[in-house]
Amino acid sequence: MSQQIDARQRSYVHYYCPCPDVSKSNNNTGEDEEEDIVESIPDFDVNSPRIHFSTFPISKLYFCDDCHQIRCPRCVQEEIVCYYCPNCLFEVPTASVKSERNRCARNCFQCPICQNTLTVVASTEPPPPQPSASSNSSTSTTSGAPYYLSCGVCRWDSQEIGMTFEKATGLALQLQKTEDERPDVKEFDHLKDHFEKHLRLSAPSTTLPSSLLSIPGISSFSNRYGGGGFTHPQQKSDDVAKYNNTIKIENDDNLVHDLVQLKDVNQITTLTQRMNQLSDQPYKVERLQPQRIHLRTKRVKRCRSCRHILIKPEQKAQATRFKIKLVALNHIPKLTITSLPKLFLNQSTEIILKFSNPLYEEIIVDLALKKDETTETTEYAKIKLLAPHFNITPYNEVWEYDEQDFNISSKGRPSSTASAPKPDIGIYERRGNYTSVKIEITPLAEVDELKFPLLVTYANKVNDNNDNETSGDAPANDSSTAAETVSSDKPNTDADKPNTDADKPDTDVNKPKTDDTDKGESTPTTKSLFFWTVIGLGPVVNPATVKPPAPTRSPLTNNNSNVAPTRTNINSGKA
Amino acid sequence: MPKECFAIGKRAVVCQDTEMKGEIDIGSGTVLHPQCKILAESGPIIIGSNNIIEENVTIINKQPTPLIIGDENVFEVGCYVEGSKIGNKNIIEAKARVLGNTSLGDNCVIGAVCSTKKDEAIPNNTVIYGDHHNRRTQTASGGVSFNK
Repeated sequence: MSQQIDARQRSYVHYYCPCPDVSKSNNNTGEDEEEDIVESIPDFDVNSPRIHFSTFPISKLYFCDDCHQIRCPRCVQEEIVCYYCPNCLFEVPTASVKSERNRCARNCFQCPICQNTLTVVASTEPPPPQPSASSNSSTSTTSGAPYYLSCGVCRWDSQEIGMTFEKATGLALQLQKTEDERPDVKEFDHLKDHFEKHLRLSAPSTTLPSSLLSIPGISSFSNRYGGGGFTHPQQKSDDVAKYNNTIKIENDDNLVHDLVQLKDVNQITTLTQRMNQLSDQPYKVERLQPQRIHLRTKRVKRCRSCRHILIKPEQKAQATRFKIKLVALNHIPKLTITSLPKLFLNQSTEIILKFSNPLYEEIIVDLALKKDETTETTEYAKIKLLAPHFNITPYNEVWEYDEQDFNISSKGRPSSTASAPKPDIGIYERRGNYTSVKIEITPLAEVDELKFPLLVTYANKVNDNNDNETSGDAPANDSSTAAETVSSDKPNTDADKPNTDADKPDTDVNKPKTDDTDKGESTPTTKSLFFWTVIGLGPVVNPATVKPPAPTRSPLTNNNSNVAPTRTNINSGKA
Repeated sequence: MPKECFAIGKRAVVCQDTEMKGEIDIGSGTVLHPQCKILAESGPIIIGSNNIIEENVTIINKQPTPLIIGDENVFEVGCYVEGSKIGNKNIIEAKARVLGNTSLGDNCVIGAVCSTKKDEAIPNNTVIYGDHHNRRTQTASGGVSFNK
């Protein structure tokens, strides 16, 4: 049972963003385009290492409307909208972010042991034993004179290191004095004073847009290239006097002595704990101190080619909505594995893949394993797509509220709304706005993870004919659509290549496109897009070596539900 | 089959939907929320006073020796307790598991979704927390009073 859960947890559908691909078709123009494009769809190598950083679950992808392309987190440009503290949700003005070193200036601290947020607790006196009620409650709530910090997860509190506060608010200010006394802070201040006059003498920094201020060191960068060219480099180095250290830190010989004598590993700090306190990185747990909480940012994300905003959050820290939210979930079909039986070596199994359509128009989907093929045999598996071409009905919000069975067509009967009354071989189910198709897999090697690539091409009709929008990319993927007879409008296929600045959408319409017999009927334009996906199916087991399942479950696996001893529900609530 | 016998102390609250089997002794002031299960299958369960046993808690005794639970413990929602002895003032957080023959001292905290091993004697003032559910540290005794 747990193995089945494991296999399902290890199965996934990841989408590939082609941003690292530099396509050769960038420079081609004219009639040569056709042949070159067909060759330029790169064959997708599932086993190359780039899969690990170029494929994403659909939840992480964005979609640019203008370019009609998927954008991944690696190919979006980000700009910072606001800085806020994740604990108190206070928006820190950009000016004071730098002075507070990107941390919250209020009461927000992080537990040094477990890195969770600390709460401010008043140390209450134990209530006196007499039963008089009113005076007790008032004294216990107001007597919180020594306040301290306490962690709800690991139950650490700052009394262990002797840190208490007079007031419950403005803790950071109260700690400011001790922070300023730290040797590294004092040394840094000395250094700053020493170099400050030289900084002022050098050319003033160019004004930069505030969105770029987040990048550390950028002002020195602009200095060097903007103003620094004119100052004499000799002049700078002459003026700087030699700097003498003012703070001496003595070697802690006792530390080595103590470490040698340790018996319990729990007395040493872990790497995470040390990395959270970079000022002195102590080895001993007692020297860990609560740090202020790091600020987080809200960012605007833009498509890197057309600068169109994809994500724009609201300015307020508490608001979780977005003003602009162009995510892939709302634009491209979502693939999910709905049925994944155990994969055995050399046994042919059928998995069911569900394609759901987020758009308000019907889409037509073509599947392929390589450029043109619907069956493939590699050394790992033999895969056959039973339904390489099908349509998915549009999304309708009414269905969210409709409890009853909104079967458009079930299991094999042709649907009435589909434009192509083809026999539905290979289609498992058609309901609502999704279609489930079957894929037959015969694993040929016993691997830890069986994955295969799937090329998904979809096309939908758009009824507005004002913009001849074919997203400016040279057409590709005609090989897979040309091979099949499409009864609806042939899609103007688009290649998945990065949109260069030179290519504009309008110019591409004038170029002769392949397969373009439908140029005459252009009133309902079709938009299409293809993308590769990697479908991971979990482990393949050799049936000969499968051990019989153990009769009792190990109680240490805590992802199982509680053991219910018997099912007899004797409701014996007698007093 | 152990006989069914419940002795419930004064000011204790036992809700109607609870499932109780076997020999159970509930101290005064203890509250049993609905949907909890106290199953004294092989041996009796003796619950002390002023405990809070929240919903969906399963306290089960699979050994013939009595399972003694002390005073002022909190068993949060969904936890599973099978130990041999539980001290006083412990907090067993949501979906935690105390397994097998483990005995719990006083003032311990078993964090959410954490579990103990099968046969341990957990000393007083231990806290089990975290993702890898076996990090333990000691609290200062005294600490936060029963303010929940």
